[in-house]
Amino acid sequence: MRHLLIASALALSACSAPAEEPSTVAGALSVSEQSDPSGVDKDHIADVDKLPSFEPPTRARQRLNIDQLSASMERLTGGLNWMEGGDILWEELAATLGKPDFVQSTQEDLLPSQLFHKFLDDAARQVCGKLITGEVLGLAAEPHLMVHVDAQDPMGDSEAIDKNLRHLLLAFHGKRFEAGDPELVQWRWLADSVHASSTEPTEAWNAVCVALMTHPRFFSY
Amino acid sequence: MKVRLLVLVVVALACGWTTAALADLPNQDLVCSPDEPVMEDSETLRAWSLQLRGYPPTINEYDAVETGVVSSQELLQEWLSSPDFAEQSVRFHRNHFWPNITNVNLFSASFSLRREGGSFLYWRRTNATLNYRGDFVTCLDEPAEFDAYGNLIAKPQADGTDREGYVLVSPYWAPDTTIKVCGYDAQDNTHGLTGVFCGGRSANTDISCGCGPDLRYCRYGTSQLPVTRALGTDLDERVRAVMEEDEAYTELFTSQRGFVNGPLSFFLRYQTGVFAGIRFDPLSVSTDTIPEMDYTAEDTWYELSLDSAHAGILTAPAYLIRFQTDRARANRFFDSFLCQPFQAPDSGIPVGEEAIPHPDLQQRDGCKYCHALLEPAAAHWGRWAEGGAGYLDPETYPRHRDECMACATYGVNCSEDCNRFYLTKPLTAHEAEFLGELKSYVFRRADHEINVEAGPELLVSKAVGDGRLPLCVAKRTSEWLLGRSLEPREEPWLTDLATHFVASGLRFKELVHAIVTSDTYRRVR
Repeated sequence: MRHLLIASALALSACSAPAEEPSTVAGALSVSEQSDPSGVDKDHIADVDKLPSFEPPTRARQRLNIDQLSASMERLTGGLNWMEGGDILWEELAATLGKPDFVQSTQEDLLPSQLFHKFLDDAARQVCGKLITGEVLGLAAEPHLMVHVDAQDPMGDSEAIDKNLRHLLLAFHGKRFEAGDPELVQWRWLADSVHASSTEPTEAWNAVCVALMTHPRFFSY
Repeated sequence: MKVRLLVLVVVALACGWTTAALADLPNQDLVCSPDEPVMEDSETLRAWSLQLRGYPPTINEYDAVETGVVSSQELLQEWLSSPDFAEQSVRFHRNHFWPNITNVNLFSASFSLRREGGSFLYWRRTNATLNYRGDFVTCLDEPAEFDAYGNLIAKPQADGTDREGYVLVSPYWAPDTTIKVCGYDAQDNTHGLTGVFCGGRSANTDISCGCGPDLRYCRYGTSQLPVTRALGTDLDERVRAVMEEDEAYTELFTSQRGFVNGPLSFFLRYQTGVFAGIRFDPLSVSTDTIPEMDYTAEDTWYELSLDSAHAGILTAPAYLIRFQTDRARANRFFDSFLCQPFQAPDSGIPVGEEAIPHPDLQQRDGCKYCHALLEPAAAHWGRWAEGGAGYLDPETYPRHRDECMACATYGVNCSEDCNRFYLTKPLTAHEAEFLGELKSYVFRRADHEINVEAGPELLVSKAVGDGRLPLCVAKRTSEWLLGRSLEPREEPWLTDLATHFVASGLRFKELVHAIVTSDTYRRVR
């Protein structure tokens, strides 16, 4: 009823609005408050909020730039990065991925384009593969992916799997989930599904790793 | 199969923010709920860390805040004081200074060594080459021979040329190696027999001048790249120093601090005389103050103390070369730091009916829409040479030179200084009254003449005084951190930010702190 009243009032005032529209929100408010062109009985709307509800200003979710992406991968994997022949591919492909060189381009392109997703997918698969291999073979100084599970039997302990998932979601996405949070269900489902269809239990964590790195919560903030 | 499954799952997980579109899915319970606009503490921490340090927090940092070992505010202060924040600030300022001049050629072709056809002989193609070899050809691939007086012996060839042999030299760009350099080009004297300086362009016809000691007056291939890179890095280092020292933001535009590394030191001491289009002369820094450093010391940096004519980044060589005209220099500053782009209105600029366009752009119809403001603003760089990074000190380059007026009036040859910096060739009667004047004074109104003498620092102090600079810096910084343009309704907030920025002594860190701890920052869409 309240909404109906507001809608009616707005519709009526719009129909009878002066030809010259106010140029600002403040102007619009002052016009409606100074006069009552609608003819609506104010007593009936006195108890409703006449002010339109504005959403408070927000920050725009931003895509990680190429430097942030490269540094994030390195920090989260203990120094691994997307490499080819000794070169970091994020640096090699920086111009293609929109990093300005200030000669040919001066504005950074932070759109999550298809090209960006393609390269992020390539990077995630390569880095996660190296991460798994390093942890299974015991080459890493400390684990970064299979932190709370046994690298030799990473799908053996259900409680440890959940704990590890919570750890990874905090590290990769900055999201802290309590045990039993419904949000964990889908991640657990991913790990279990890949585990069920694979002969190699580490494949489950490889899939989780790739999914974490290609998730919007990873490449944006 | 596995891959397809993975892709499907990743897509499903990634589509958490488009729940509405997936409302009819049978597995609705597997779809992520949309994120709340207000970030959780851990998400805020991640956003801060990514923007202020360039990478995400560690698990230990998340846990330290969660368990109360440290407050998020304490962590934020620590991050703002870290070198990583200075690096992110440098990165932000690159968007405004565009400090890349690696596409600029600093060497005249006459001072560039070459090799041809797979030969290992290095030689120069200069006017002098014709004099000593008789044609633009390389030398003989045999050790050079000298007569009893130490003069090179050139042997007559069947093609009519006279060719000398090579000399082994350790070049400055790779001092641990030796290369074969044609004898005439390898001459290591600093002055020719006529007294000409071999490190200047006029030496290119003197057969007694070569590339100098260690080939210092010549370049080969990409040997100039470390120099142009260093000039860009000098600018970055000036920003970094202000951020790390937590100095007033205006120090960016007023400090007398500069940085040199090995290649830049070497270039400034020995190579500015063999310029191509871009010129560093008259040098804005005394070579006595530049430390002797090996060209190969690319990672060793030394802080220079410059004189009072310098105005921070606005007179840094990379800025002056990236924006080669005084107008371009003013335009960049107005656009980035005063938020006043010189831009025609959407409705266009009315063009008058002048029969002959006025040569003064401040008065010409149409042009004056921007140039009435741009010309006096550009005058602040009036003592910084266009098309280079030279400085015209008032003693050597007074406002008026009689010799330049005389050469312009009586037809005698004008000196290089007159041709470069003074008005000697008027194109209209309006300009004739400025004959012999320093070009930056041409059409300068009396009340704007101070701009030429006071330099960019005056422009900055005026913009701080009237509040334009703090307001614009607050706006640019907000846009960076919020990832969007500000809305008109946010003007009061912006004004508050600018006021806070000024009250803090124009400390950039305080401004950033105020923005990232605001309610607006914590709400994300």
